[in-house]
Amino acid sequence: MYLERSGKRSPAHVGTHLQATDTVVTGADGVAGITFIDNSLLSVGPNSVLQIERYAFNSTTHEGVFDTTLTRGTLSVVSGKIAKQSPDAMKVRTPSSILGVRGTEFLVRTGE
Amino acid sequence: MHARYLGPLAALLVLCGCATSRDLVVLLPGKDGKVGKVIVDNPKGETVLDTAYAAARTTDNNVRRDKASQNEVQSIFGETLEAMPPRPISFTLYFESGTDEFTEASKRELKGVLAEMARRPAPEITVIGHTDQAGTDQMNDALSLQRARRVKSILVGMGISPGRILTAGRGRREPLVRTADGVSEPRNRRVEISVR
Repeated sequence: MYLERSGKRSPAHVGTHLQATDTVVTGADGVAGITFIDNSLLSVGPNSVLQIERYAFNSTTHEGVFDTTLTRGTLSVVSGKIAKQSPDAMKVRTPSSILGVRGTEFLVRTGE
Repeated sequence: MHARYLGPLAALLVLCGCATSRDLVVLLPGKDGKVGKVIVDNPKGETVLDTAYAAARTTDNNVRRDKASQNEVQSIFGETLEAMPPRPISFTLYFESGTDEFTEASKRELKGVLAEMARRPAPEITVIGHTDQAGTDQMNDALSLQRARRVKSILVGMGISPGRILTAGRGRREPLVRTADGVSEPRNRRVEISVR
């Protein structure tokens, strides 16, 4: 698996820190788990492409914004403090749909 | 001349159209037993998922809402679910009144933090200070952050890398015990350590 940051590709390993706008790309035998500072959790399955488009979290008020796009593959989500505080603050996009997240756990597959 | 190529080209576009945008969204029951809600918004309509294993299936022509079986979830998402990071765990520390010293129970909690970090592949922690309902928001925001920073320095002293520790001051927004405004309550004067 690797990361795409500002158009450049770099290898990712356990403990790599992500930034907003990074894209995570997994191969046929790759998976990735991601923890966020608001305690949101994501995992990306094999053959997947996920971009973290926007991420902001105010640790005092719990207000924030969390936008990701899954362009290929599978994604598992457990939402965190951002979605708990503001029902419209977390969105997951696929090429055809927008998912509004009102809390807790769900799965997404796109493509095929 | 051009007309001859129009047929095959048009067919190819239609084929590509069929192969894209086939989504499956499945709502899972939460670990705490609660089921949340996901709203799937698509040019073909809006689908609300709000029961365990409710599924939205999108093709180019429609969106169908039904239920996914646990077998289907396992066969499509099994590897993905296995890659989920461990759930965050919180520890709560209290101070002996009027001192910088943790209570005995809190010292045991600190050992729990270290053990939990050792169990995780890439552990990080947030130290979150909380106050009671006495004083203004502004005062309590500052005080709660100050408490969190003090605990961070203790954790660093125990050998945890400062790069793995964030601090947050939640002020009086999240009391453990509900009280009236202005009430001094020791159980609300606490620091929470969230390990993820």
